Amino acid sequence: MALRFSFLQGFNSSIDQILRLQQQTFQTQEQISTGRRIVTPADDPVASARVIQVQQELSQVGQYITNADAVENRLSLAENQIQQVTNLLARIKELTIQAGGLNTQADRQSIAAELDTRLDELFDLANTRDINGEYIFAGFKGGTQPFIQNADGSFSYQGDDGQRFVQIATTTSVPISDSGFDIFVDIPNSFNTFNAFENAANTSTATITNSALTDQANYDAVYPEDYVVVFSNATDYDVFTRSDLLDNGVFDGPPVFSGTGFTSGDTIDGNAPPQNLGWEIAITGTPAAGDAFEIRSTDTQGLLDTVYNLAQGLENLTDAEEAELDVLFATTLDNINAAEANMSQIKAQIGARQNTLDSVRDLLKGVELVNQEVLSELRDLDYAEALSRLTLETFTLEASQQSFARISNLSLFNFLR
Amino acid sequence: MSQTLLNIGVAGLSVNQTLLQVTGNNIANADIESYSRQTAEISTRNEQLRGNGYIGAGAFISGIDRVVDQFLITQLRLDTATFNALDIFSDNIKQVDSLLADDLSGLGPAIDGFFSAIESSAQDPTSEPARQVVLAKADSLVQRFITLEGRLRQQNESINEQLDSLTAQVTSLSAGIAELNQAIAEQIGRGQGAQPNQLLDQRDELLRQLAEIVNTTTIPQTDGTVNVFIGNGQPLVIGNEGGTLATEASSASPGDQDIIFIGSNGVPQNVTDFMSGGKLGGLLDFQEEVISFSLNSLGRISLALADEMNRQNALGIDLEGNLGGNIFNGINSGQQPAQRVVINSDNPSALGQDLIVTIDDVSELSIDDYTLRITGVTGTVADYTITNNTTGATVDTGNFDYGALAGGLIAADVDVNSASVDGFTITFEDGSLPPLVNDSFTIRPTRNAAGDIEVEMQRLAELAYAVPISANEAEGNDGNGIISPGVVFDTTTTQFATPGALSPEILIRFTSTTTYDVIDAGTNGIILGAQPFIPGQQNDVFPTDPLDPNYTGYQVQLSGVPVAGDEFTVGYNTNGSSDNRNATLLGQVRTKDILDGGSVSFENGYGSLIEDLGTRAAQADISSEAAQSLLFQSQSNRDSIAGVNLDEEASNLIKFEQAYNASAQIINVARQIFDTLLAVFR
Repeated sequence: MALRFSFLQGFNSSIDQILRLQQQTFQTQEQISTGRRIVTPADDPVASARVIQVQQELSQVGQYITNADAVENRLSLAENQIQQVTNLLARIKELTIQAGGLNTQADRQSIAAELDTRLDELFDLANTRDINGEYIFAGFKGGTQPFIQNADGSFSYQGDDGQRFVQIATTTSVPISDSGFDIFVDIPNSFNTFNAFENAANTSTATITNSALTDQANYDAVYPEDYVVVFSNATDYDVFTRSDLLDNGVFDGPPVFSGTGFTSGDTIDGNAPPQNLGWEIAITGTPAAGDAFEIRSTDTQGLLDTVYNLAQGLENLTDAEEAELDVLFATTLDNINAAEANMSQIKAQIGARQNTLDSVRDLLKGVELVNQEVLSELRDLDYAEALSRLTLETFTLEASQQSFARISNLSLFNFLR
Repeated sequence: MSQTLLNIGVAGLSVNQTLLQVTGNNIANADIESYSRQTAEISTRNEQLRGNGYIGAGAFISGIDRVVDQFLITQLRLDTATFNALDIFSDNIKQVDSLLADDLSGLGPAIDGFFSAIESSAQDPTSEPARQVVLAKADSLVQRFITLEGRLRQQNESINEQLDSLTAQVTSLSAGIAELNQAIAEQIGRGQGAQPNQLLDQRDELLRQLAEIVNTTTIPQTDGTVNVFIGNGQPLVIGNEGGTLATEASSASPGDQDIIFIGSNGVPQNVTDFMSGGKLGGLLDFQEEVISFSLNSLGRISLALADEMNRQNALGIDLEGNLGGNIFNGINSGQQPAQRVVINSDNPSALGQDLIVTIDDVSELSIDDYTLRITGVTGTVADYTITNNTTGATVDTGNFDYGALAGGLIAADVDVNSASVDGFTITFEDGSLPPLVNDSFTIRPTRNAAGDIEVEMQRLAELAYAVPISANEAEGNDGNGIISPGVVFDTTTTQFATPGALSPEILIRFTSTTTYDVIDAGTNGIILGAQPFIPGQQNDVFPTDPLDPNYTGYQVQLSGVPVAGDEFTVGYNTNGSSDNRNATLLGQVRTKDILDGGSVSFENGYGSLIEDLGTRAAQADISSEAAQSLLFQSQSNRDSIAGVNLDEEASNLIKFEQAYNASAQIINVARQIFDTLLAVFR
């Protein structure tokens, strides 16, 4: 059976072989001209699937690197602003020391004038906005101005503690913001003090226009008790402790003290005997029944408040009030030192983040490189191999074409003359 | 005597002339693939008894036959069917694989683009251009899903057209074979057993062409005809009668075609499942294994993506402080639930049932289709089984109990009219006709999903990048307690029922270094009193069990070193425009394990679809090449028996020519002998 070889079979198989070789050669040629081992996924379906995975990883890593770059920009802005705050603090400290050596109120008042402009600068820095108009020290409330000055001159923080994180690796995310609370507000005070504010649920527009610590020793004795002034009508009020309020929302204990006949602008004196609490607040306006005003104890004081209090003291304290002045200078210096320490700490945190950023970015670049190598290995052509393959294929093709031409000429009919 | 010699010479001339004719015919037909070379059979004439013994009387042609080996022809047909099935499968799967696995046309780059946009936007949550990019990329992702789905459906359509034309070809081939059968039977009769070689060759060729389309079985009959069977023994050709093969829209699966066989009895029969081999078999395999598989896989990915992104967005609040809405259309919105059910058009009952399939849990979805079959009906109780069409396993049995039927229709109120399995629920809608026994419904939870996905979000501000809660340390705390920013799991709790507010806002006040109260900041009422605080670890403030009455849908943790009197607040994240916490979580959906019970991210789900298709494509390629070389082998075997070898014919030509010349010489000698004899009497 194998001895017979039909005329058609001979042609068909030779042509078939030649076509197959041609196809291989063209495929190799296409690989060489594209530089890819896999021209269409069908060439190596299994490697193609792997290519997709690696590309996904590359895209993810690329995004992380982009993120890291953006984080760096934000951290630099924050660092720069903190540095400016630090510079301002140095000047304010200088001014404080300078004022301590002055004898007359008039001289002190001229220093107070400069302090006011420094305070404005500080206020602006605390309310820094980025290029998008977002307040960078407002926590999550980037659309809200974080620091405002109240009627009594004190400063309030309107932002929150929110800290924005950006993911820079699968399991690593770094904070890219610090809240104004941490930077400017939560600074240890050299003495116990309090913040006074209107309860958010108040129905009248009565405001606290003055609040003062009138006797530190008395206040220290009751610290950290918080107080609430509750009006039962426009003229009568009771003062409770806050813990009384928070015990299920009803004031069931007897008030600490009570007052009657309140009119707008009156001072509620918590330091009057027999209560001797060490604080006083003045309220302007007509309180409605149920309105509450809180005296919240704290051992921290905002930087803006510290500078404001200093400026006010330099402005208003007379030469006779030497003792108060001494206390003012001493506590202000303490507080500014504390603020400087706080700024250093924040700067150190930002620095640490930048270090994290750098090392993660190096790592990411490494991963990117490795992935690109893997991708290249999967997809790209080994030219040496491909070119020698092409040579072999073209050689085989030519050989089979030549041999076909020759063999197809072999026919007995050629000899029948 | 010279008369006998003359006769022998004439016989030789005649025999050799015929042999030369046969050789000439072989040479003339050498180019025709289906031609089988012919040989003439020469027999010796009966000798005659003379006085001195028996003497030969020359030769004659007793028959002209094809040189064929029936076994090789059958083998060739078989290999033709196998090769064509694998070849067309391989060609088609390469197209799908190239479509889905391509760097540019595949889904991969669109997914990457979408999530990269979210991650970029998360760095800068208030930036409108960044949000714009997110919505634009969501749009291109959706377009990509729709395009891929469309291309797969187009390919399915073109396969349906090919099925139409292939079945038509089968019908015409079967008619041709039937005609040839008749002609062959007649000619054999007329030729008293002589074989009509050319007709036999023609019939073999038609049978081979038939094998290119579908697997066949042939049974030769004694009268020279062959009977041809396809599929599961369907008689395509019996003697001189040919059957019909046609297509018809599938009763259980719209968009697909059923193959219908109509035999001599005229009764149509659905033979789709029995067709194997040939282009028809290859295409049907491809439709079932690749198109359905790819559509379902893509569908499941689109469902997972849409559902998870919507779910995560709903846990956040947008730029305007409202709880987030849908980014993509809901997976159970619009016509989708109804389109997941196909009411089999062959059902015993009328087509009045109203069924929907809603998806409950994307993570439990498979990529399979299911069949819901009503196995029995007693009163208003219908027993059912749900079968997985891929594995064939029964996944659920039970009954629908309609209770009271309103006017013969199903009323939902108190009745059990739904069945849940594998992450979806089948429900008979209000007002639906009740099912009858043997009704069946094809359930395809994922089939259309990739084409139904849409971007629902219209406004940039609606991307919910912030988390609804804001946890803060109160001013003036003496200790160093820390409150975590908080996590939100569920915004459907009463805590989030009032728009733009947390109800109630929470005040946490430490009563000692190791205890705290959780207080309603509005009423100052204690919600959770004297909670233990363990220093040195994260303390969950709220219960994590959704059934606990104090479950809030969110959680905050306390840590650090608080002292008595320290306070922390948890409120609504009003004006939290710079918050990117939920945006980060939206970005993390990319790698979140959602599919297959929460073990595979949908990006990996797509990867494994590609891998699967790739492996199948590679396999199909290898099998098709192997089948091709087998086919080549059996073609060679057939050709080496039946093909014409020109050298052989050339030598035959010489041989027969010489024999012819010799026979002519015999006549010459006979004539000379006669002449010599005549000369004697002259």
